[in-house]
Amino acid sequence: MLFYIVRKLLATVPTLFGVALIVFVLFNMVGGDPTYQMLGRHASEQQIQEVRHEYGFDQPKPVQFLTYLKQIATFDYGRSFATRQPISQMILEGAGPSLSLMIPAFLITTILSVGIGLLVAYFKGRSLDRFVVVVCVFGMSVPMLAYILFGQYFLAYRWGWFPISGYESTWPDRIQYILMPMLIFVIVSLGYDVRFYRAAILEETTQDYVRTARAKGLSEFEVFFRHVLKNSMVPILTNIVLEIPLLILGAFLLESFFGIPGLGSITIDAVNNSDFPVIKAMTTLVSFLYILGNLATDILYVVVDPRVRLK
Amino acid sequence: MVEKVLEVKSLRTVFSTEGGELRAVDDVSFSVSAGKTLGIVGESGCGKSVTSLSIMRLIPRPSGSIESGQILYRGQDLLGLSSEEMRRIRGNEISMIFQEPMTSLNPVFTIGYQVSEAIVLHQRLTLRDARSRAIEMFELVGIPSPAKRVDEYPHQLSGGMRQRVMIAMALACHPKVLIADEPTTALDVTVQAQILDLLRDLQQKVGMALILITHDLGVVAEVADDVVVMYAGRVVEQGSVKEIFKNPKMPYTRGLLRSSPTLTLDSGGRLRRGRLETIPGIVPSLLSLPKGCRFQDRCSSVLEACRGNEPELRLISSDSDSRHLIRCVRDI
Repeated sequence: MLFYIVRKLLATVPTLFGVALIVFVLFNMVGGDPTYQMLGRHASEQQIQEVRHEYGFDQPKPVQFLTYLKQIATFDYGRSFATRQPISQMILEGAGPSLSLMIPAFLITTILSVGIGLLVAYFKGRSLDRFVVVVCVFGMSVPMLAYILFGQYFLAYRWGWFPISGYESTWPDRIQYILMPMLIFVIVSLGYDVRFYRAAILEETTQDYVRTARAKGLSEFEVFFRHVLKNSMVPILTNIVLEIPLLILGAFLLESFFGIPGLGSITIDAVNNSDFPVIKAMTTLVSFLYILGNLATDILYVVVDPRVRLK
Repeated sequence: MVEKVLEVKSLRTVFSTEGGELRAVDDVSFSVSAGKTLGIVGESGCGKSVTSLSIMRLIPRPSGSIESGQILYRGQDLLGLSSEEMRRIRGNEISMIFQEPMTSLNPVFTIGYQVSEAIVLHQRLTLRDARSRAIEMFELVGIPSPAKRVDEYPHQLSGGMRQRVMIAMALACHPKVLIADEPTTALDVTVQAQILDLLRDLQQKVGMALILITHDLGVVAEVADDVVVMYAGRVVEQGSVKEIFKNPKMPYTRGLLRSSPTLTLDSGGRLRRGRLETIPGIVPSLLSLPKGCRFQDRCSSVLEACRGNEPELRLISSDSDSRHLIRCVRDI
């Protein structure tokens, strides 16, 4: 088991390196010289040289790459073009609001969607199942923006249930600001997730071992929640982990509409300002989170599926 | 008179499909006594497996259902039981082995656990006691070093070993009836013989009735006491093994017998190869059965009368312990 984890961990090193290389090529070689974007067309030659020197753009490319690797390793991405703040500090400050929105949103979504998925798979073909599937398709079909506008206009502005937007960094004041975006995230994600988990579970119910379990005399409940559930854990876990990095992306829209100063807002602002070092740092961060998520799934597979260990 | 443990009477199992309702099992009757073996033979798609799943009441719903008939287990009609009562029969009084040992075990539980599960369920033992029972069962079915194997997962075992696990699971609660649905089809020839010997040995030891479903007449000749030949959901010939192999009447049965490979040595000790024959064509779709005898389009001795009304199953000879029935208009 320990050997397996160590092996998987070592295997991520080349992947991480490759991702870093791609990000570097995209930003430092393909993307053009960001100093002009930053300083505008009327900057003097001396200003340009100063900025190029500060950000290391005057160095040869391999040296720049090593600097980038060092940035990743030390989590020190330099300063933002726009705000002149240290980027690592921006990320740390943005992480708080983002996580206080996304962690509860993600937990609620996952618990609800796995639970509902199990329930409708158990009652497959009955009216409850059909009803839920229709609702899911409807929920998936409406874009997030529609929910945001509806929520802000009716729930917040007309009925005053929630603040329209804003944020408070102290507890428990921030809760009221988080509630509506969280609700919208849950509603938007539920449609897809419920359908995915339902399908993953139903796929298992057609397997031969299910018939064996029934022939043994087990009740439908035992067959389903013991035999089927443990087998469907692999696709369920995969989906959960793959969604973690997307959480940050999903939060882009929500954070900027609801004025939550999280990582999503930071990234959108950075894109609007062509804030090159911040975009690069965020890209790196999301990619690395994704790879670490995959690593976590690989390790969890061992727990749920005994066949993985030998491979 | 030996007790008839299981008696199937006029069983009719239907499936509703997009093309209409099809009768996968149509008016099938047979019985099996304690310690005896009944072979059910026929090509794929003749309704053998559906018959066995009907006995277990494991027909996939809602598409399939048992329309009529009786399945009497020691005189009690299983079709009248609640699902709760039926669960107490399954795996306990009547057990089943399936034809796919590779996929019939749950990949994420140890084989010991899967066998123990049935024991805990029906015998109310603790998991620990059930585990030692499982080890005994593995010993009984010839799994080497069972105490070590008990904690292994199905993927660590060969097909033959997995089928032994299935047998151990099926026999763990000493059932009165064992249904083996093509238990050896997916296995190597040498392993097939081992599994059949094992089934026969165990049957003698515990005195249960065995229903052996197969398309291999060689297996039937070796193991069974009585035979039911099925074709397109119908019983077409039925009787004792001795009678049917000596004196097959229905052209379909004869065709099946001729299409079994035989290896014999002639007087000089050389291998004699019998010519292997086939029955032309395939089993007709249950949705478009011909009028009259269902075998008419493939029958080599078809008559005009075969295309009229479907022949009834009729008695052609009987002795003290078996009755020979055929569904054929010809007087052979």
